[in-house]
Amino acid sequence: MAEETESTKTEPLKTAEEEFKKLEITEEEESELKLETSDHVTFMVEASIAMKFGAVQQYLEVSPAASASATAIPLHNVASRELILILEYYRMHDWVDAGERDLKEFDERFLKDLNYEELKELLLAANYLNVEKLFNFLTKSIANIIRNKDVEFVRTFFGIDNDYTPEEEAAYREENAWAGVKFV
Amino acid sequence: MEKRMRDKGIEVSTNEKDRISALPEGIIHEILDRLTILDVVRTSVLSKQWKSFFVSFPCLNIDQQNFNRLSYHWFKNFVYLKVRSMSINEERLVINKFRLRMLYGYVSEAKEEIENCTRLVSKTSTINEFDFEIMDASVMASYFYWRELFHHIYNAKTLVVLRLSGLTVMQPSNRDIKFSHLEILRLENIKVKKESVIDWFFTSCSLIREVKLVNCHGLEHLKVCGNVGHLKVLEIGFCPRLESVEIHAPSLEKLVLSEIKRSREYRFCMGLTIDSETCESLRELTLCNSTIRGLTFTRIFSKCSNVESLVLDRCMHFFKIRIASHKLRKLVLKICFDLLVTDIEAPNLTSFTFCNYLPPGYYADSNHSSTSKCPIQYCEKISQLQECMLDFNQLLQSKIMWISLWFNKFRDSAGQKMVTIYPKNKRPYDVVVFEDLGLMAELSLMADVSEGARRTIITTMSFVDLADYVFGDCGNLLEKVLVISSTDKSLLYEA
Repeated sequence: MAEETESTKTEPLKTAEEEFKKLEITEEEESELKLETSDHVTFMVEASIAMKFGAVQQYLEVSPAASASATAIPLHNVASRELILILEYYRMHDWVDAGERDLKEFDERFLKDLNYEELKELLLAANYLNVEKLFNFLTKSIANIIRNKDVEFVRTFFGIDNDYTPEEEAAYREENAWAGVKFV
Repeated sequence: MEKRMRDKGIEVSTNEKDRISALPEGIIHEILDRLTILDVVRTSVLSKQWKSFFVSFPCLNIDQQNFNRLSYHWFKNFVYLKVRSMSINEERLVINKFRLRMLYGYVSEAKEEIENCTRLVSKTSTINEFDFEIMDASVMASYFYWRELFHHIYNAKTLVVLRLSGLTVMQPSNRDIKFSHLEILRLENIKVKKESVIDWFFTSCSLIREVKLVNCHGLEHLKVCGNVGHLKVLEIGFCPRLESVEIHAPSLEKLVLSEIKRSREYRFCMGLTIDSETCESLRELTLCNSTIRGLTFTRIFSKCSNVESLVLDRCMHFFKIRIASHKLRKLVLKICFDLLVTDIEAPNLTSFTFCNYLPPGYYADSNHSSTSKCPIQYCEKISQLQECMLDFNQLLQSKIMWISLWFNKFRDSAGQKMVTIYPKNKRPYDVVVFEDLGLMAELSLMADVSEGARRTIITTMSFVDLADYVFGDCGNLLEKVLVISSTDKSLLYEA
């Protein structure tokens, strides 16, 4: 796990810079906020989007000066990789011309492009940043995977380690048979 | 991005690492909250850790519909077990959400269990959502008084969300009780014995943000004032005896006022008073089955300078109205049959719907003078329009001139969607669909081809979305559908 984060660390940095440049070109007029991620990448983010982040709102309430000054708002538990994804999601959903169908398509693609590790990290970041819409979307997507599935499916899908003894499990399953738990 | 995709490929093929259990408990609970109780119970079998997630899961979500295929015995047993397991850990009980949906007959049978449940729930200092619904509406007639239940509810002072349905709302015994955290209040299919209980909610819930009152029996005069400085959304719907509404809520953004359906002959007139401060903060306004007079509406709307979305659905006493707003982006006029003159001045409109299909025999005298007039007058061109849906009145249908007059309005609008709906008749196709006719110049052709159709749709929608539309609520009465696609001439669907 540690190795994995090491190896990918340089790559998001580059993309972050590209993203950063893009931002500078396209959004000149709108007021921007500077956000700094846990891996020390600064992002200039449109205020309209940044203010949707509960954590940013909270920070500005405590120190209102940060919105005008050049000091970056630190996001301690969010890496640049996650922030890029969050911004991608919110730019799309904030886009006035985006129709319902576009958003649905975008959401599907967005989810498809995530592997489980990323999904988990993104969920943690969304939770920390207090970005309601994305958080709800992600939890709903995971719930959809679990819904109406039997225990074995969910176990293999998420790779959950079964630590019940066979006897314990059989007894517990019987107790909850009414909820549609099948016997093994 | 590409690298990430490759990573994903590897990740999917390996199946050893637990990908979800490491999430914080709070997030797991959020996920469980989106599932039915049966799914949640099933997850507890996954592993010991998930069993502990289930035990600490702070939501009590009992919905009889989930038990439908099971016997009542199981259901009652479950409630019983849950209550028993709760009372064992009474002192360290954490419950955030309590939801119960049951049929009336079962509620009266399980009254004691439910009371025990709500007593425990109200005792916890963590409860923030209380949702209680008795489903069978027909028993409403028996007006279910349940003093103990309300006693428990009014004890739960930490509530943020309160939803009640199918009950008689009781007054708190002590009027000084305050729900100082309550933000969302929904009362549906309820009865109030005294109106003062609703007034009490508005004065004692100082953080209230969203109020929905639907089918409230016994409510005659609604006065929204008091501690409502945070009120953003107010929905009032189908309260059978409501006569007047008065609103003083300086930060209200959305107002929906639906009345019960009344016949046209019934000379009743709803009294609506909105103070100017409230008018200015309004962003969305919807009137449905309204008996408000057109003049009253025009006067109120003239003060609503920030409204972006206006929906007028079946407003019976509208003869002449004026809608002038620079902020207005969405306008829906539906089934306002008596509307003769509408003066619309909304240069920034992006979405417009006009459905005024007149059912045959609506007017006793078929030569009603109103139909000979052109019902809409526009002052300016609508150049921002992206979406337009028109429905042509039977009498207006013959006036192709009138239609082409309409289309001229949209000549400058680029990339809009247009849907026109024709009234019912016995011509061959119910729906004619033109796909991807971008240019409005082709509209005259459309008018000829589709003359016999009940609905004509010109759209850039994909066929899937179109099917959604056709088989959705609009399409209930359709029998035949014809689709002509300009992008692919060979495509011709007939069903």
